[in-house]
Amino acid sequence: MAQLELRNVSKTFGDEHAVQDLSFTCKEGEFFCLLGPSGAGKSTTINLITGIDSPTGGDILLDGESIVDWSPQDRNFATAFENYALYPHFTVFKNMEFPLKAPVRAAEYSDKDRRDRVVQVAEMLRIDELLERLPRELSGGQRQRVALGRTLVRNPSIYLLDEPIAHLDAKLRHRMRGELKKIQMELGITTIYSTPDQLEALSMADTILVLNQGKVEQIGTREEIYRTPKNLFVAQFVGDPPMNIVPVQYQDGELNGAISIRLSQDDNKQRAAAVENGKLLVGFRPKDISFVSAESASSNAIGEVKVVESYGRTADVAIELDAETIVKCKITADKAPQVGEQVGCQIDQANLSFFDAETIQRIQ
Amino acid sequence: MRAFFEKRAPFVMVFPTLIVLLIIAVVPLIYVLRLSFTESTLSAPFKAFIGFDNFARAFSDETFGRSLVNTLFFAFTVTLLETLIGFVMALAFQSEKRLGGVVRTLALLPLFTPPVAIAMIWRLIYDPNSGLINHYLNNWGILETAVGFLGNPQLAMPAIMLADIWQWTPFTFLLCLAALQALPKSAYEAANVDGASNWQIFRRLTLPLVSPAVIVIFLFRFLIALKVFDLVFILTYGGPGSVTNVASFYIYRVGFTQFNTGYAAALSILVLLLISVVTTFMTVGRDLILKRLN
Repeated sequence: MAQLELRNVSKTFGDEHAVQDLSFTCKEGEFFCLLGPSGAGKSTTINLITGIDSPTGGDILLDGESIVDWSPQDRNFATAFENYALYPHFTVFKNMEFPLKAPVRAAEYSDKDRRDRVVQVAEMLRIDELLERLPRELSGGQRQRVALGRTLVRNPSIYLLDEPIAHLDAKLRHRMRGELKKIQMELGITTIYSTPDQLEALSMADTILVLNQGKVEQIGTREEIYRTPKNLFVAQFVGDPPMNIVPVQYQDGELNGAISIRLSQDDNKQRAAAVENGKLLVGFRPKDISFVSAESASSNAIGEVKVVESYGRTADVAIELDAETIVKCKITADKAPQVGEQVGCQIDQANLSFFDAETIQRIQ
Repeated sequence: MRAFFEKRAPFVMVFPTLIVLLIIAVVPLIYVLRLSFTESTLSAPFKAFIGFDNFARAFSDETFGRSLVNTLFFAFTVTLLETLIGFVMALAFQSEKRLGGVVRTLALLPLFTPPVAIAMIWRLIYDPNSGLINHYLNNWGILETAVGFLGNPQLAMPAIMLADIWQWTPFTFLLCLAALQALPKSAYEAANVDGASNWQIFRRLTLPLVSPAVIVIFLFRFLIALKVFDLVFILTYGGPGSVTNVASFYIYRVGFTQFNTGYAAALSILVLLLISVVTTFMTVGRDLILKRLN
């Protein structure tokens, strides 16, 4: 059980800033997610916390005590590496058993304890059939589960999981999301989890940190990240499909552009009026669009249906409003229009986001 | 037509190499094989076919037996020491960035130096009158009289071995270093995070992972050491007595100072067979060692 804090942590490789001025606190027992595209600095951050790399600036604190000078052995964090980092000459069993044989833990476990623990974790990860195999005899997904298993056999102060289920097939990934969240809640062990997949982050994390090019874009609960993205990057990175962004001009309570909205709520009007020249980007989630007939007075925009991607129960519909503007909307599949059809779009004003067109920051 | 050429293209491409190999390896081998069954001298080869007489003579030739023992003793001792020292040096310098670079460069020097030059240098070092070692032994008052290292039956073989170790340890050092640096870095990071001690990391990771390469280096070096000739030729000429008389040197003397090429050919064939048997045993041994280590 532990609370981890990073204060203004930076890491440069040569001239390259892998991580810049990173600060966050991961509370005891929290499921903390580092979310960002590849190259954002997620693995670097994990390696800095693990102790494999040393930061070029800033401080890392565990329960208020600086640990930057501690060796990885002393930190007692369990890490699942993105590249698996399995011991190539050990069987799966020996790979998973190895952390339990470390001098600091060896006394706690008898041979039987170790075997039981490994088998228990292997069963949960469904690799119990593979215990006598060598890593090179496994598929990518199996290796990833072994790497995860080697992490989970331990009882560390913090779990660090670097894209631990990225290489599993969709079905298994879905199941593992639930399993990991369950394990984490049962054990209550502080967990830092990195992923490029916003769905994983939204479905598991208590707190999400959105990382981009080594810098923090936003830290918040999943609700905050999803509903009130702090800037355009977060708005367009989170959500599938991501938030629709349309440039508009605000004047006298009305937004005009590829869409036209007469703002009915005072709160929206206030925010929209905050930018002096009235140049705004308005953002709305695909689920906040509903279809009306093209002639309807209540429609905010009229466009042509370009693509319909159906997923069984729901469908994503891409609508071209004008040459530069395509919005995507998510509706139940049976209400999906035909490709080529002219439709009216009605936008729910309750969840509008406004961004300054110049600074691309959210207007609160 | 095209398929015909595509099928034979690989053969066509290796053909020149095959020809060269044939000329420099197979033809001499057959020639030596033929020689060994004849009574031959350097000036008059293939004088008479004498069957296995040369081989029979070899089995009762005590000097030859002694030279084989010398060769195996020499090769095994120097290879063991060189591999051990090279491996320990490689471990010591693998994580040294600057110093490691300097040592690596210096290590190349003995490899660049012609073996004859190395042998000459060591002859000067061992010289009883003006040699470096005697000079210091005298100066520091350790010894009163000069020691003739190369003329002393107890010291001659160790002296040659020392020169050989100086010459060849860089070879094993560089190969061991390359092997260590090729080990998967990520496994070491994982081991650190898993809390393994340095000894555990060495014993459970480094040793099993690097030993296949080190054993190959050992075998490789052993095969080269069996052919030792230049050091013996220049430092002791097989003496004193036949203490440092190794197989290749004995064959040279039979063939090129006694001009008995038929007998020399038979001895060569026997050495070849012996080396094949020894290496086969060592390869089996390697597999056993590797099994034990994991």
